[in-house]
Amino acid sequence: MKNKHIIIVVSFLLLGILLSSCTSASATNSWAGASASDTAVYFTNSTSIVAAQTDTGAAIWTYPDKPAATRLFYAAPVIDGDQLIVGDYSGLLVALGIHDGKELWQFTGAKGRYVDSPLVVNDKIIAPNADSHIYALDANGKLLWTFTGSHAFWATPVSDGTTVFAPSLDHFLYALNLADGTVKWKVDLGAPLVGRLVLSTDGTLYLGSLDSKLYAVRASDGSVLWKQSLSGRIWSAPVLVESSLYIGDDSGKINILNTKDGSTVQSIDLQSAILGSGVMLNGSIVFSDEKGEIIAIAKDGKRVWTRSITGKLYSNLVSNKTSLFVLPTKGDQPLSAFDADGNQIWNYTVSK
Amino acid sequence: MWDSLIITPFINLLLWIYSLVGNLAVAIIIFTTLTRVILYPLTMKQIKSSQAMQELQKNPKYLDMQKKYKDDKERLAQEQMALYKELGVSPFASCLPTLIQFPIIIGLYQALIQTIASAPMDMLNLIRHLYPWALKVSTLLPLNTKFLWMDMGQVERLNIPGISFGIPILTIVVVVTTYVSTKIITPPPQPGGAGGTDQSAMMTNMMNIYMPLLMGWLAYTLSSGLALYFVVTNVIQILQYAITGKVYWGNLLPGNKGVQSKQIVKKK
Repeated sequence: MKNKHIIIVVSFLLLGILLSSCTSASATNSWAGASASDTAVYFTNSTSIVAAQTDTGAAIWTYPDKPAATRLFYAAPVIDGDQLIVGDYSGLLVALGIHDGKELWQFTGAKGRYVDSPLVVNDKIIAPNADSHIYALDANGKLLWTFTGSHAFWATPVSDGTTVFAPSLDHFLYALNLADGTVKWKVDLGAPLVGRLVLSTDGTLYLGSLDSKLYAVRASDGSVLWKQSLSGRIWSAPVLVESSLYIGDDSGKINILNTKDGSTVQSIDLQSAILGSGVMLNGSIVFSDEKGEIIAIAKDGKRVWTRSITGKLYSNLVSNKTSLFVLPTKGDQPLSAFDADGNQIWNYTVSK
Repeated sequence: MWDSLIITPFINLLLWIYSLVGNLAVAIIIFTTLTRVILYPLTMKQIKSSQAMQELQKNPKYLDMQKKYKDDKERLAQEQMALYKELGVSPFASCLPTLIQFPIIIGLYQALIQTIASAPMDMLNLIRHLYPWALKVSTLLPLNTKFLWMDMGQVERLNIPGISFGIPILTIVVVVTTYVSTKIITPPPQPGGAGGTDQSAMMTNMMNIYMPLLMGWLAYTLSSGLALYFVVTNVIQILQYAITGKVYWGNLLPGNKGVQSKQIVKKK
């Protein structure tokens, strides 16, 4: 009788585990992020943050000491002087010592996920959160102001030093006073804005939406200067090089557009979704796609080199000007480093 | 195959309902109700079959053979099969509708999980499931997941000023409705009968305890959209049992044990 009791209890536990595991739509529900300095690359690896040497890939430190399934890290850590700011999916934003990974402070005010990195500007940390808020903190993690939107903020804002420009899933691009978070203007772009944006030196914001449109918006008043329809949805920021924008879409095309009017200069078909931002490296613009290809193109759109690695490449590419860092999703390793010519330098190997 | 036949149509149906009502929680309630209504004939067949089995266990012939062949399991099985045949009851009749329903219910559950896309990878997968001719991403997303104090994409807690922790109201409702839905279909034990003191009664009692706890734990840890689905499913299940007329509301009364307590059994 006692054995049967135990069998029933065990059966229920197994059923609970089974159902819980079924509830994640996918084992990984976002893609990793990274940032790099000359000497170290800091990247998220599911339940931990890893600091690795840029030249060898050797681990410098990992955080936290005891990873927990409840703390998932996907947003790229941000370098802020001697501290590294990173948010997790439990709603915790922490500052870590950049040299040793020791926790310096925590901000626990958010109720949602940190899907993308905070922005650090003028000693302020501007942290977008999926709980429909943007939190502004000082360098010690003290809350300065909060802005409430009507839906999640999934992308890192940009700033010109006085205004914060934040895209939201609620279709709006918000311009907020950096000093107090009050709204300067907001503009409805008609579809969820999930990707980052760029701000040009002439005061134009460029960003894409999930209805496959790329917009140029005047930063001073929010007026739409032009919009251009692409063949696929836009999940990340364009790369701005001189008077051209280079942007990938999920139909698998790299689009080269003129900043003046949004006209398409060229379109390169990779035939696999491009979700992450490209990056400038040694005069080339590098993109990656879902089937694991990394492609460097010259400014005129000619292919410079192509490499292929195991895994799906959704994350923004990261560069410290000399090396390229690639974060495969479901790959053999969480991070691979390449030189400017596309030669693989090292893979980060997770110690078992 | 599974995705294109079950998950994708379910997601599109759920989101089509959403496009009409504009609220994910309301869409979940309608969608769950709709699928349960479609599955109603199968569910009723299953309920009636299991009730027939319960009735059979009160049959004097059945009770006699339990005593007579208690030390000869093989003979007991043979005699039971003969009795099933004689009375026209199939022990597997309640299993078949369950087996047919099972993939649909699992599909429904998975469709719900994928619809509550609260992270980029989930959003990417959701968009790839949408029929572009039926649903437009720009007007559909982001989903309105707010309902009362809840967010369908987050775990549910009601924060009351003055209380330092959130109260899991939906979890409590899931536990209560699961308990009610399992308890009211359990016939009270018959003294001296096969269902009175034997192991199956013990198993049933344990199920009545562990099932609500399991569902409660899932509701406590998973997004409130799924917890809402559990609640709606339980309520509909209770109604479906009530329609058959054989529910033991008396089981819910404290201290109600066996025939010594008054049973409130509504008979057709």
